[in-house]
Amino acid sequence: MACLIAVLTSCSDFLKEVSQDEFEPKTVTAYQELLNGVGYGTTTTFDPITEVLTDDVEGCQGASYYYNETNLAHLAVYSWQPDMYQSLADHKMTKLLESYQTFYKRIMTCNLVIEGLDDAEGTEEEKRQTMGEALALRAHYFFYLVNMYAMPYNTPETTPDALPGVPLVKAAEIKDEGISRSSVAQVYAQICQDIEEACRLLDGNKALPVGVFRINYVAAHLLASRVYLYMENWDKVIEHVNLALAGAPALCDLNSYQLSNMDYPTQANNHFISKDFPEVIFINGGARANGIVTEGTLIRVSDDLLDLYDATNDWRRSMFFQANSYMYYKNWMAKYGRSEQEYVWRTAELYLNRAEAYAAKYAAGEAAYGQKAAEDLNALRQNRLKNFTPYTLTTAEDLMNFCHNERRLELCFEHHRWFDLRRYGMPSIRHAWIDNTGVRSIYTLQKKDPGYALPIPQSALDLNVSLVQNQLSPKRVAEIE
Amino acid sequence: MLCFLAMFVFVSGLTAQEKGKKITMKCVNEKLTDALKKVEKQSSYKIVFSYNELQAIRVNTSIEDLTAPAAVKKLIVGQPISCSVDGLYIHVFLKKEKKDPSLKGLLSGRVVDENDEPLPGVSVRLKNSPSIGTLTDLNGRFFLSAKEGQSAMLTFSFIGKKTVEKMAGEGLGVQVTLEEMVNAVDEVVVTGYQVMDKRLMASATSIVHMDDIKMPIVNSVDKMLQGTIPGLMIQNSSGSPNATPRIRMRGSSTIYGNASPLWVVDGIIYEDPIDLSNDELNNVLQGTSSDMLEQANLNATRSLLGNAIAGVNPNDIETITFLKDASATAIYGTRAANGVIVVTTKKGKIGKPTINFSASWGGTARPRYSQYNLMNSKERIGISKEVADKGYLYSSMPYDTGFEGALFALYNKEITKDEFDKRVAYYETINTDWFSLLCQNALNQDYSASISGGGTNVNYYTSIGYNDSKGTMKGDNSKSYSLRTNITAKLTKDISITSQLNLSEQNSEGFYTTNPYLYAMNTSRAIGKDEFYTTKVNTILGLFSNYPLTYNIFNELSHTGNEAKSRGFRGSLGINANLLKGLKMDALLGIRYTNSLNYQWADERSYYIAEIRGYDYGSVLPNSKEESKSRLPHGGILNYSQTNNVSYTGRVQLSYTKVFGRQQQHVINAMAGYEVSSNQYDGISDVEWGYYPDRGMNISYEYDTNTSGNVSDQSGSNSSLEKHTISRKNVKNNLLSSYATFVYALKNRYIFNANLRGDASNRFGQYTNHKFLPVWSLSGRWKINDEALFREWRTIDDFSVRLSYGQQGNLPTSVGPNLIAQYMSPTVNRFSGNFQLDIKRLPYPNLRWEKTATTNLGLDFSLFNGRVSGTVDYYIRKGKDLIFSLPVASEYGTTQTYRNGADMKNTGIEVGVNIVPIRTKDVTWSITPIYSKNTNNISNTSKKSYTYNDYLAGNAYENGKPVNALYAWEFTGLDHNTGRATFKNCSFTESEVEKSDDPKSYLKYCGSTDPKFNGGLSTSLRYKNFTLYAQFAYAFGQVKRLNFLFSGSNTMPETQTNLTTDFLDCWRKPGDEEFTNIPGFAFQETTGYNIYVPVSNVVLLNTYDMYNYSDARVVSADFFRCRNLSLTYVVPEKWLRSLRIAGMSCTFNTTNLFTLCSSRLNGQDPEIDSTGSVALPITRNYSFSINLSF
Repeated sequence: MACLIAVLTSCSDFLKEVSQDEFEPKTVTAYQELLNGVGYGTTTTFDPITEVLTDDVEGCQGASYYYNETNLAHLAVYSWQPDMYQSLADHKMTKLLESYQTFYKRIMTCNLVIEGLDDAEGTEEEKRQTMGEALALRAHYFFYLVNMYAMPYNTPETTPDALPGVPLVKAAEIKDEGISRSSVAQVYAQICQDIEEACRLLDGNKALPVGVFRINYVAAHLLASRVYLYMENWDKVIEHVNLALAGAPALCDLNSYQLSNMDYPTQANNHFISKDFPEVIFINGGARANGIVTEGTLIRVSDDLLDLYDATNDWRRSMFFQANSYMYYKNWMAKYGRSEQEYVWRTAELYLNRAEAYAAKYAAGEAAYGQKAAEDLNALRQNRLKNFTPYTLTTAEDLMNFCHNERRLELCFEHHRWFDLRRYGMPSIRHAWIDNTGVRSIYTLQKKDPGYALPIPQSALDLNVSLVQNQLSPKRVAEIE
Repeated sequence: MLCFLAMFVFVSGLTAQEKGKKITMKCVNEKLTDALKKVEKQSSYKIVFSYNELQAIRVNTSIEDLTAPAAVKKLIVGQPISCSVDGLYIHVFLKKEKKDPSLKGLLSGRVVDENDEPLPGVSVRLKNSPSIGTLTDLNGRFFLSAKEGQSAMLTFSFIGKKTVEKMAGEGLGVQVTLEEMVNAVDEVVVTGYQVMDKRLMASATSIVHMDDIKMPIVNSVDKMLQGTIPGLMIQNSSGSPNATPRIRMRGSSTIYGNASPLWVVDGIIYEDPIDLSNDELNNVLQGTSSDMLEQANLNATRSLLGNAIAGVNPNDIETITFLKDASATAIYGTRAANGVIVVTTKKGKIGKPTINFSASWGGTARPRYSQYNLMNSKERIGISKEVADKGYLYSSMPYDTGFEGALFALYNKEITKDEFDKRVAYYETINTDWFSLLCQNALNQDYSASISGGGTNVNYYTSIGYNDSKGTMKGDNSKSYSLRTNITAKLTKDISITSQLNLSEQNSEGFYTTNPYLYAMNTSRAIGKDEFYTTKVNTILGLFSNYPLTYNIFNELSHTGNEAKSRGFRGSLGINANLLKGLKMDALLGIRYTNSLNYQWADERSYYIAEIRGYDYGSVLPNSKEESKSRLPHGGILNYSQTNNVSYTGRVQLSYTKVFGRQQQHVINAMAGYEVSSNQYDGISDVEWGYYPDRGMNISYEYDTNTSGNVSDQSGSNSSLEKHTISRKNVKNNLLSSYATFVYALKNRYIFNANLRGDASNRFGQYTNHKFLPVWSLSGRWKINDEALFREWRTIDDFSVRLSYGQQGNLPTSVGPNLIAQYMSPTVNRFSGNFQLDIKRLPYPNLRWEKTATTNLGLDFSLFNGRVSGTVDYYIRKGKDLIFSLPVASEYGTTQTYRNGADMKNTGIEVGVNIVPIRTKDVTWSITPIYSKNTNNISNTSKKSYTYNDYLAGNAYENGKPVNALYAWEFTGLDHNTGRATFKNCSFTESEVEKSDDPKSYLKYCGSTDPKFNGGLSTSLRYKNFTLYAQFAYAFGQVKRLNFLFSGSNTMPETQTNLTTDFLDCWRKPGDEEFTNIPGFAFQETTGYNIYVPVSNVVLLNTYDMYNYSDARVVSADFFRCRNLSLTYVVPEKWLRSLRIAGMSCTFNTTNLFTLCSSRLNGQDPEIDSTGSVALPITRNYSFSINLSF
């Protein structure tokens, strides 16, 4: 037997594992490339539906053939139905249902990278960078998950540790048993731990250029500021914004910024959600193929939102929304231009996050912060308005409202509004629907409605016996106006 | 005593007129020979006899007025003499059963091999007294004393040599030459590594001769094996000539790995021509792909390219050996856990050149409506009318087709009632016969010619073959060509070489994106054959019109195609050398090269392309806005793939045989070898949009500025990038192996075998810690009837028991313990510009080899001079640590994981018996029944819960249940008020349903889809020159689901869909539930077709879907099929002599003559595996063939 083995092992070349197209990753570079390919998601839609849940859209009358299956399937989402996924699945729009699983797939990749890096070959700098990116991404995905499928961190009359969050998967090991939901507090604790560690690692790599498609230290701090904003940890928000702004690109002055196609912003190559927009810190996701779109369907941009803009002075009104000759979708949401990416993290958010933190502190009685909030808001508005008139500080309430409105105006259709509505106390929303005969009916999302947490997909529940569904609202019935 | 018979022939020249002359004579104690001469003189006959034979016999008789034959008969009455009359000749001879002349005293002789070398250790026995015997000494000599009255006929037998019977003489006696047993296939087992004397083997093997199972015209040997081998289960996947059957030997030993046996041809392992991973393979074979069309396309590709054995002409095959237990397969190592099928091709035989030619022509009858319970057009329109009359709602506006089209035209006042009636009358009577239009009575041909022969030093066999098989679907064809040359040459006394060369080509045609059989089954007969009817109304985003898409099957068939070409070159060279006495070296180098090409295409006139394009061909103007918005404005799609498979095997082995001990009673045979094999797949596949098959096969590249760079934008346009995707695959598997076998035989009575093999492979990321797993086996055989006690029992020729035990490993290739990354296409992320990788396989760090332990207890017997012989085997195959997939929480980033741990136990009994009730000169009748029973149980799967869908889909591996367990909803009749199906544990009232986490509590176990026992029966009856052969196959104890009654779950059947006649008897009014089990149409209610179910996290399910998955739609799939019935006539030689033909035979053959099965199957084949009707039915086939030899 021994000689048998000896003969067998002598021909090591013959037994060398060779494959043209697959291999076992052993270097930091390989792990980084795995992250590039399947950790990030340049072609993946993470959040295809939340825009349709907000008050930024409304129903409209379409021509008869617009009442087709695809567009009608949107109604279930638009009307916050508890069985919205079923309706989408019935219409074979399954791509819209995969967010939950998509996030966890990406998290699996992050976990594999985080674990594999320990033994991988590469320089310390490379390792730091890849580890930082993987941790930041994991934090980002859990942040998305907990905000889509659980009630908000600041849900009134309760504490986050009493709210079911999402299952926390922190290792690449696959177990047979199901995995139950951690509390919202636990999920946020993990997110904070990951993002803080990512910030620390990436701060050490400030000099390394990685481009806007990967997370650098600025992006990590931006994400941290957003997480703390949702947690209402105002000091941390300010701290991270300050660190991020040190390396972030300057705000882009729309008074001088030229879209590549000013007449048809939808055809512009350098619109807000594009890698060529000067304010971009990080860009990712692939929205255009798979999301519910507001263009060309029975859902359009709401007058509620459009009316908020200063129609004569705000560059954003004409750049974000393109008037269209067809009556039933008079305004296209043009923010994507011709880009295919889903979302960007950009400098404006840093100002808005910090302004809100200042405003909150101002409301809490720290008077010095009021002016600081106004300064941040004005810094942004100066770059957005034609004839800029600075906001002047009045009451704390007015300041906070102004913050919220400015945030809505600036970040609309960038997957912020739904989450913002949640942390603003989950107000009631009314959605009108107009059928093909012109009858208008109204669906209502109540204040603090359980519909503010999306249902967990049945396919996930089927596979995980420990998973408990959110409390679902009853089926919503439209009232005819 | 050696008899030299001197033949005296007395010839008198008499004329024919004198033939009737009568004879009168008297003999008193006269010599018979003299009497016969007298008779001859008096008659015109010539009497032929042997003087020596008859001289001792004297006769007393008187003959009066008899003809010559009668006179001869009277003369020999009471004598041990026979006579026969042949024209003018009367032969007189001693009766055959004459006793061997007896002899007493010392018998002696010498035994040598073909090279005149003395053979020691040869067993010499008196034929009629086997207890008396001896072995030859070192000089090959033997001495044996015999008593008076005992026959001097001796039997000489030696391992690996043909057994010889010879009369012995005194003194120096006889010189016997024992020849190498090359062609005496009954006595040897070809393991692929060795040719072993069957008497030295203690393994479970079966051998079948190609001549015994040959079916004319069938183009591949794997389709001929059903019901011929105990323990072998063949499931025919389709009746198409391109179909590849599913083969299992002794059940499945793995859940996730490849469960097909290994094919070995003349010592070389044959790999599949294309590299399909196990899961792909299993999916394809089991039809688990969810998308029916995708499945059909996959099947088409897979079938068109064939399996490992495709390309080997069945006419070239001599024998097939099936290695079944661990003892037999251990030598193949890890790859042989599912059994090995060893094919031996024909070799040249010593003698003058023989030319063989065979030609077969056959016809296959097409399927007809009478075989299925499908509605005719009147019945189908009747259903539509009924639905319309009852006011049921259509979920969407019916298209302008058929009855519904006319109805809505009437509603919309586009036509008058008169016109409407006319149209309906037209549809009612049109009754299009799709089967007649799409199918054909196929004519198939097969020709094969070979020349073989040889001298003392060189043997050769060379053949060419051509086969043209057509399926019953027009356009389902397969043509194959083959050329084979086998040469054996003896270079010196001690060295011989064998070389083989095989070229083959197979060209197949099938279907792409459409399946005419499925179409004929599913399409309403109220549609005209030339009709282009609307099946879909399309909208194009950004444009404000509707685009109806129309379909016509003939248009579709003529504008799509699926062609596969597979070319194979295989060659091998072997050297056998006798190094020293008893020590032999064998070296073998084999190379295989297979090139497989597959083109699948659809051009721009096809519906398939119209669906992608968005509008019908020719319905918009060139350069119109539709063209600019379309994803594929010009051309069709070409889907091209090519795989080159290069594999080589090199092997060197030494074997040593020694015979020693008192009376040379010990035989040792030891063999050790070393093998290197490599198997490489190098393939490319390409999808090209813009293909113009009819315009020089050009591809029109369209770089659309609007969409270039987009994966797909809102209008669904694919980017220029995605319209032309090419990918390359390159996989190389290297394997280094060592193996050894050891045989010890004591007195040819106690046999002991041991086998050992170890493999090391370069398999990627696979089991680095467990690279080397030895496979071993031990076995023993006891020839009981050789014991002194039984030697006198002459009725027993052989009675041996065998026992073997062995361990094997199996190695699923698609999962492993390490993370495997894969280069992505595109290599560089087109947004970020960064290099990117994909995850090919998640790590499953705890995976180990699957282990299989096989115990086999066997019995071989042969009674009454071989009149009754057979084999019985009982086996237990325990699979341990089997890898199984486990659905896991999707939070782990995947939906399934893999675990070692399942245990699978296959126990079975196999019986193969051969009975020859009659064996005379003119009549031989033999019967060969075969029975196999396999029980398959899974245990320890450690999975606690499966979803109800797992159970219904057959994915639940439940402890103690078979692998392919089938569960169903328990149907409890139709609801009195609504006619909806009801099920046990379900209710229309939510509160009545008790929720359960365990689907077993509300689903019913209906049995296994694998047969409990199966087998066959073949019988052959020869009368003179006629041979009638029949072969049957059966399988019992399995169930299967009927095709879905109705697959549209919540919409009315579309106009173009046909329904089964079951619906004629469907529920219509309360009370009907007493008479029918077919649910009624109840589509007026939007959700009323649902029922509350006990599934823990599901509220309502659709009763129609549930009905399809209910026990009402599960039937027994037992069947008894007449696989083959043939009548052969061998033309008598004397007729042929003048034509210089050495032999000629004609055969009329019918395959699949009849199938007995449950009537509830309604034309659905009990055997075809997949639920649904993608596979073509197995149909009757008639053929006629002629064999000629010169």
